[in-house]
Amino acid sequence: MNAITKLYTWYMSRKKTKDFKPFVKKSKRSFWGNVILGGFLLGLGFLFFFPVLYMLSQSLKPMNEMFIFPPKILVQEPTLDNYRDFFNVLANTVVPFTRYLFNSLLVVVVGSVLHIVVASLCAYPLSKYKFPGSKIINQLIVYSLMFNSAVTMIPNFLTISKLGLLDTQAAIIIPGLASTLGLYLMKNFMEQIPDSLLEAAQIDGAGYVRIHFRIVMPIVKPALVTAFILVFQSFWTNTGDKYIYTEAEKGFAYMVGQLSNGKVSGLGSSYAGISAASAVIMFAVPLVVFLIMQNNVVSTMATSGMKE
Amino acid sequence: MKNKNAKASKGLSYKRLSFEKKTAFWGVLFLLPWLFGLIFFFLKPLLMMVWYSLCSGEFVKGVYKGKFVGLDNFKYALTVDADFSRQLITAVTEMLTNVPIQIFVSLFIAILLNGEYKGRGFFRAIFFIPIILATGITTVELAETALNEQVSESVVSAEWLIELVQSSGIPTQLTSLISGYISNIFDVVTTAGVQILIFLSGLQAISPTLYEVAQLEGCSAFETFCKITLPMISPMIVVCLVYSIAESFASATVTETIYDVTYAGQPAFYGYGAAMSMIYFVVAVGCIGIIVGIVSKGVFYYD
Repeated sequence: MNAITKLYTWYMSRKKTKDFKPFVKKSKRSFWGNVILGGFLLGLGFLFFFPVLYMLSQSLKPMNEMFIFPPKILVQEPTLDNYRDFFNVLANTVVPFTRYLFNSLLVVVVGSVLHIVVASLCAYPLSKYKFPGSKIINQLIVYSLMFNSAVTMIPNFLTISKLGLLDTQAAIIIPGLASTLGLYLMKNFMEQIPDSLLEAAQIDGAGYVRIHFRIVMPIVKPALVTAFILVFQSFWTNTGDKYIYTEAEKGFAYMVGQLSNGKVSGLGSSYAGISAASAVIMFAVPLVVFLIMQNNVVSTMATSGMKE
Repeated sequence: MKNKNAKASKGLSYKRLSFEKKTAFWGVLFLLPWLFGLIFFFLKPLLMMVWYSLCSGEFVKGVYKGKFVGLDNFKYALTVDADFSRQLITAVTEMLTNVPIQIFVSLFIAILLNGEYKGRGFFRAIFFIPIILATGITTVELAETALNEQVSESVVSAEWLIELVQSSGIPTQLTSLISGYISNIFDVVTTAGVQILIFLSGLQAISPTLYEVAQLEGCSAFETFCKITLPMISPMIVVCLVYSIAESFASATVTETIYDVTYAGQPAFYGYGAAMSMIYFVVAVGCIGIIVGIVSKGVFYYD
């Protein structure tokens, strides 16, 4: 309590100085409001962070700590053995590790970028112009979000095999292009662009292609980035469904995903640590992508042409 | 000369189109790549599913050999199967209780994350974690169950509190509803990652000039929220509703049941699985239609 009073007096004394910058810009929030908000964010943040903490400490636990009862959340004697074992396991697989890595990266990067290009091209006319069939397609987009993928597996497999794409990277990328995950989001953002802005561009002589790449895409950049994160995530974690299009032996499975996906029980308890290590690696990649991307989410819209 | 003429006539034929037709031409051109995907990976499976649901049979070397049985599969699902209709109703009620909380919580968190303060990037990263974790990594599931049990036990197992509340005359349904909420609050909150991200990018899209005007006019923070933030974010509320409802249905037990029926055991059940899937699809689309129809009446579009 004493510390809080001290903090309070410090805050009030800072407030009287001229170059005072409050924690929340341009708001009249009081000190206690800030404390409550900060506490709330920290508490909720902990709830969100707990599984990661557990996973991290699990991956650092030596074998003898793994199964003690009652289980301890934090690791006592951290060790990197699990990571070493993990790479050892990868090195001894039939298909070389680099092959897995190459395939995974190719599928994820090419797939997400292509999805964004194709879906944004589609979202622009759907949101801004009316033409025959546009209403039906708009509804189909929402319907396809509700579609149960369980039953479509066999029809999709038949389609892929008829196109001759089995056991290629394209077998995973192409069905991803048709997903409406990012499309629906981008379409809704594009609907908010004022028509007058596009009309002005048209009067200035810009074609549809130029309007799309020079005006629409920059304005909806936050949505593009968000959609990219979502799609990247869905490709990266695509462990189950789409392996039906490829044979695991030929190596389009993501080794990391395979190990972390239910192999704890399958391979016996000796793999628990390796599984946790693979889960951490699996988790780290999208997090890095998010951290790079989220800077872009922050700094765009402020200068967009939305003023009227 | 000839070349010039050919060019001119080509240009003319495009130029002769009316403005609407030109727009439609470009619209369809932009749509084409995606439309192929839609036809092959959504419409075709959908039509095949409708056909399979009316049949009973199995796959022989990639070819479906089935005989037409009419609506028998649907009748069986709705009248004979004890689990399916019950699970479907559970899925709908769970959706109705969880989705509003999810929308509310995620909008709240997004507004907090949109403010300018130190460590914002750190908090954003933390609230992004659930999106990454919603992947079925086993270790994480273990952690979630452990935490969920601890949270719910510490709150819900306080039986005396529930009894106290009940004895004060509040209906049992209400208390059980609330304790139900608390017991799966972790699930509800941590699946809100996508919605937080969508709301966050929606908040970024609001022009700062609007806030400047509000400040000049002397609006309070609450007024600013009601008159600017809420109307401007309302289209995103619809988006989040659609995502939440889709997510809620996809993670319901009925989805697992359909999967099991379709693939586990004999392939003869494929037709039945397709019929269940059709019913599920119609119910889900109906829910979205009704809810979005109601909500979108209050949506504000900028122009």
